[in-house]
Amino acid sequence: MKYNTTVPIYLQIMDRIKKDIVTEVLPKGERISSVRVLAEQFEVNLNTMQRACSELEREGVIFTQRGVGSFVTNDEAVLNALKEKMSGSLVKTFVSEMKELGYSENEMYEILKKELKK
Amino acid sequence: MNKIVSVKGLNKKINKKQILNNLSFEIEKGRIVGLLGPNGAGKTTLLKILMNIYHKDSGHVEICGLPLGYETKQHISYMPENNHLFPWMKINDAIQYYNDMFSDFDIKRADELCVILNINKEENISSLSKGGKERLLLMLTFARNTNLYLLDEPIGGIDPLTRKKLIKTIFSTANGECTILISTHQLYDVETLLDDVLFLHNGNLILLDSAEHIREECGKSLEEYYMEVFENA
Repeated sequence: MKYNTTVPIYLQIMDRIKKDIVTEVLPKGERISSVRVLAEQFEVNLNTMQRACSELEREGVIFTQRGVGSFVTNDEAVLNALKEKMSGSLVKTFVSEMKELGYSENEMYEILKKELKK
Repeated sequence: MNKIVSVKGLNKKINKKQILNNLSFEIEKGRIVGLLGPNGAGKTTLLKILMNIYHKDSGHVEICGLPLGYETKQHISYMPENNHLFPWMKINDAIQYYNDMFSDFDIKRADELCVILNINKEENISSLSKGGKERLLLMLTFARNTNLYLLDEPIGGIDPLTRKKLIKTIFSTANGECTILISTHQLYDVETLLDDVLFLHNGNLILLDSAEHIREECGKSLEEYYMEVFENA
């Protein structure tokens, strides 16, 4: 995974895992690898990975069963919220950048419609 | 006991030149710490003092809670800047030599590392390239099971592909139990690996902070931050 080195790495890892959960690369209820394995996978150190996992846990995206392992949450509400938040931020960037280019609301509708019909 | 290295008021002069100036810092267990600074900042001197190769002029240094001495050396696996192995040896001899020298040397691990780092054990040490020597030293350093690894410029001459493998190896060794203090100029390569950074300038400690904290506070990569700090230093 390529990192943007100007943003805290644990945040980038969290975003990546959340994306995997939303796209069901990691389905709900799925067991996730141990912190150590993940650290190797993401090529970061253990402390960074640990931080990413505990933040995810704090947000309720994953949960840990003592002595068993960590799992993706089964809570639909949390999963939907994740998806909504992600699409929300995509749309926000789209709109703000289109505004910067000088497009009006109606023009944006038209462009979107055109793109969707492709 | 969470402080693995603790340095208080450390001073060192070499030939009347103040190399280290009243240095104080602590390193926690399980961290990977980058020792960064321009040439002549005192990085190698500091590592050599921790290794008890140079004697300090004044100050107090503890490793794993013990004052510097014979015992502390056993807790440290040190990779020096220069090749210290006998040139007549083959790599296999060097492995045996390390095995005799250090009770915590793990021959199995050495074999694994030879495979990962593409080291041919039958080769003569004298015929190795710069990168080859560095790979050999890294293999020997990380085949020891110890608490603290000191690495002095470990990846300068290593090609990008091996470097990547190597950095992965360093991760898997750093299993949360051991601590690594690494001096390097290849900041870009170790950017995602470091927990903390320690900036040295003319023998003064100018910063000790966590890497994520720097990214969070300044929105800068370690490399950019380094440039900024040392340009104004």
